[in-house]
Amino acid sequence: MSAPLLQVRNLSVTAETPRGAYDAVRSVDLDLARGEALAIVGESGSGKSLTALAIAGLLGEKLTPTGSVLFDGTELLGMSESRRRSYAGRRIGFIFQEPMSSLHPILTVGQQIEEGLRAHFDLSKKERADRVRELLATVGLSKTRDVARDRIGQLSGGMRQRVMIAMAISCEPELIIADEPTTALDVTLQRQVIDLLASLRERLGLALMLITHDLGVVSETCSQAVVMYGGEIVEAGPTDLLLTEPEHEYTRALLASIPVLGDERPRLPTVATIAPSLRDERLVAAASRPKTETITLERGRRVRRTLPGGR
Amino acid sequence: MLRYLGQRLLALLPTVAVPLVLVFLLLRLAPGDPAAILLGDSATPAQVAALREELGLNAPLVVQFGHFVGDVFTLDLGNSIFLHKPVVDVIPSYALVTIEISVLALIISLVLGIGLGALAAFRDGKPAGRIATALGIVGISVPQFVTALVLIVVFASWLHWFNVGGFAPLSQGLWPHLRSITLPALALGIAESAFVARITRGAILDVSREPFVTTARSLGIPPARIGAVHVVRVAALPILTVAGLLVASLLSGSAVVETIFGVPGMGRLLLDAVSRRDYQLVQGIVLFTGVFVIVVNLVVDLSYAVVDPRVQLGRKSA
Repeated sequence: MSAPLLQVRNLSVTAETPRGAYDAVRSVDLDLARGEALAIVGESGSGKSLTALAIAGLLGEKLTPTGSVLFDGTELLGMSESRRRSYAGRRIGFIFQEPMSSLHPILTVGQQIEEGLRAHFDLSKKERADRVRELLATVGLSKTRDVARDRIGQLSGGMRQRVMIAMAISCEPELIIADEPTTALDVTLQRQVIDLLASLRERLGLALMLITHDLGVVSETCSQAVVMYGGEIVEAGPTDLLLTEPEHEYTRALLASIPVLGDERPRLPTVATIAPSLRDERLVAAASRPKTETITLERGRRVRRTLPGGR
Repeated sequence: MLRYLGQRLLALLPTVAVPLVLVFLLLRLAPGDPAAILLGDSATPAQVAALREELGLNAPLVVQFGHFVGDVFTLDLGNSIFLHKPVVDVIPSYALVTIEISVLALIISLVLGIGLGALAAFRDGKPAGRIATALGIVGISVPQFVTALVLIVVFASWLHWFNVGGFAPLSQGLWPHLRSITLPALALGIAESAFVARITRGAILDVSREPFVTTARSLGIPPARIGAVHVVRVAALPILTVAGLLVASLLSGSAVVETIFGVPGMGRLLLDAVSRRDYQLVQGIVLFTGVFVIVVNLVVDLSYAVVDPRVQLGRKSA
């Protein structure tokens, strides 16, 4: 494998809370090659969204990333805001979870897709309008002229997320980070959006980082997967291995909680552990946390293990 | 749209009736007899009684009110007891001056307020933003008459850019006229701009936290453009609402400012009318002001549709 497009090393995100600083994401290592797809799986509060935002340089005010995020050989962390902007949208596209609130309520679909084009390319008005219609067609929308004139409130949920995707790919980025792109959609639409993302990845040669808690989606779309829990990666490796022979107990628990058609179990197992909240985490200070090590298994699998007697 | 407009116009009637009833009652219940005041201290009780009879002040309140409402609908607002002229003829020239000053003050307060508020929001936490925020608090705390006096001292007494007082009507030429209403408009506008600044700052800060701003950042759109296009388009709505309310506040503030600057506007006319217990005139002015404010707010409501295309007038939202 050549040098990966994205190489994340020892990435931590420190949150400033009224009760002091605390690491919401700890020592995350990720590799993503050009054109490949990587899934980040985990429950709410596992730090998967923060990891994604940190990579894209979109963390909020009270969140500070440390470590290293190499994109195509360039360090993204600590980059000046104006340099970050030359990457944002142009080389890294971001798809947000809630298209309704993440898209502008007043600007038309066409106007807001054009905003990104305006920031990165020197196009005439006509060229921009043509590109908007082309993008809308690419994400599978018909009547592109009408959709471009619509506002987000006039579109259905599935159409909105397609517009969101059109925006993310508008400046031909090499990497798309999709933060739970299907969570806000109903089940029938989830499938369509995932299929769209998978086909776009193939057609445009995109690298895809898919953040999700849906393991079913992972198995079909992503060759590599990372399981996060409590701000850490607990297991990482090829998706087929991860799903068939999980090493970490949390991965096993996650897999066991997936309903299967014809399931005889009267009750679906739930994940017994509870993701630590910001407040608990203060109580469980770093010193009293169990000592862990990451061991590497066959085919690049990594598992985090609690050291015996490490408390 | 037309149907909506009709409904809104119909809704004007009860809205106008409320201030009308209040003023009618308050003035009638206040101590002081307009006939006695009109005739002066030397008037005999007989003369006063005769005048009361002539003006219909002896009739029961309900009857007086009935007459009044009937007259209003025929645009007969009665005669000013003091000026001996029909109220309908008195108001327009005074109102014109006040509206001129108010429009100028509105422009000043919006330009100043939105500028200051935007500065306070976009530089929030930085020195420039803190200064802008502090200026806004000072502006809200300082009463209009103080602002007015400071303006007179600085711009008229020291710099001699304007005359201290002395109103120049339009008949003396446009330039002298504008010069004579600039300071009053500034005094009014500065006070209101602080309020606009506060609303603007809050609106921009609120909108800046919306997820669609993060989306714009994820696309690499420059901050200046995010502010000027993405944020302001949404933040404009509360500011527009405030502009409508501002008109009412400017009209009442004009009473103070017109008195200080000696401008013959409606605010001062109202003060004079109240102190003379010139019932007819007071009612006329209140009616005029009320209708004016309500019409302005109707215009503001209609203009939402221009600023925010999501607003579909007269349709219930889904």
